[in-house]
Amino acid sequence: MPKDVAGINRVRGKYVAACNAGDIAAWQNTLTNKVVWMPPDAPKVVGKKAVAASVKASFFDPFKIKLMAKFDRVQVFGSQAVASGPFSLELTPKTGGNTIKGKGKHMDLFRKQKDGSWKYAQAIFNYDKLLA
Amino acid sequence: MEPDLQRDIRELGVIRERIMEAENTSDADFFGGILSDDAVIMAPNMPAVEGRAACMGFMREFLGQFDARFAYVSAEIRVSGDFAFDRGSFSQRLAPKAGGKAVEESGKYLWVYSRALDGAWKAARVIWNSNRPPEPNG
Repeated sequence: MPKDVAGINRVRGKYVAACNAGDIAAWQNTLTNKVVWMPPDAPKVVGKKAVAASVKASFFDPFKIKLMAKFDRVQVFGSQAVASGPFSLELTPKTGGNTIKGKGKHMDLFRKQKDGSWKYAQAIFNYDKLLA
Repeated sequence: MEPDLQRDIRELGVIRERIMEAENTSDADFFGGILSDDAVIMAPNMPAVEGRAACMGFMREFLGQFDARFAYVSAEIRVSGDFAFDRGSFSQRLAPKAGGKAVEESGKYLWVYSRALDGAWKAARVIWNSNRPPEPNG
């Protein structure tokens, strides 16, 4: 179990690092093929390619991203796990302009892969207050 | 599908229906029996509410303010041992009890359940968000 929790924290670290590096290829490697992405104030997106395209257009292309995320709780149930916690996000427009800052909550479901690694299977989040 | 798994999935479907019924009848007390001790409600545009007592307070306040009409459509229920989740979509109409314009919204939800010692499913983590940005001044 501690090994699984470490693996889940490891993929979270890769996810956050990829966001902060603007590396969409590395980011999508943290997702399962059938991932369900549920962002606030927009419809859900299903499937790794579609999610990557959506997130690239919404976040990676227009913004320099500064993301911090942690888990308050990780629960592992066999080959699945759920984790939730707070995050903070800063989005600085690449074309100039004010940085958008927000804090919020996220809950993620993970699925263990054949090689023992973990990937995001579902991700939903919202903000603590309207983004400004 | 295993009989126990079928039973669990059926129970979780019944719980979802009861949650909807309780919300639509402003029955905040119902949630006392369905939330886990360490429940966390992660509602949009406000900090997380942690613990059953605080979550009950949130539900009482929310259902005291609005006549709610919720409808849920589950897209997926998965059970793994003493863990389960229900993911889907919702639509809601919230009419302020004090008067004023009702707000209609649709969105996505993810509810995570844990099985209590008596075998009953309890909602442990609840999060949702909207499918569209809030209206200006809304």
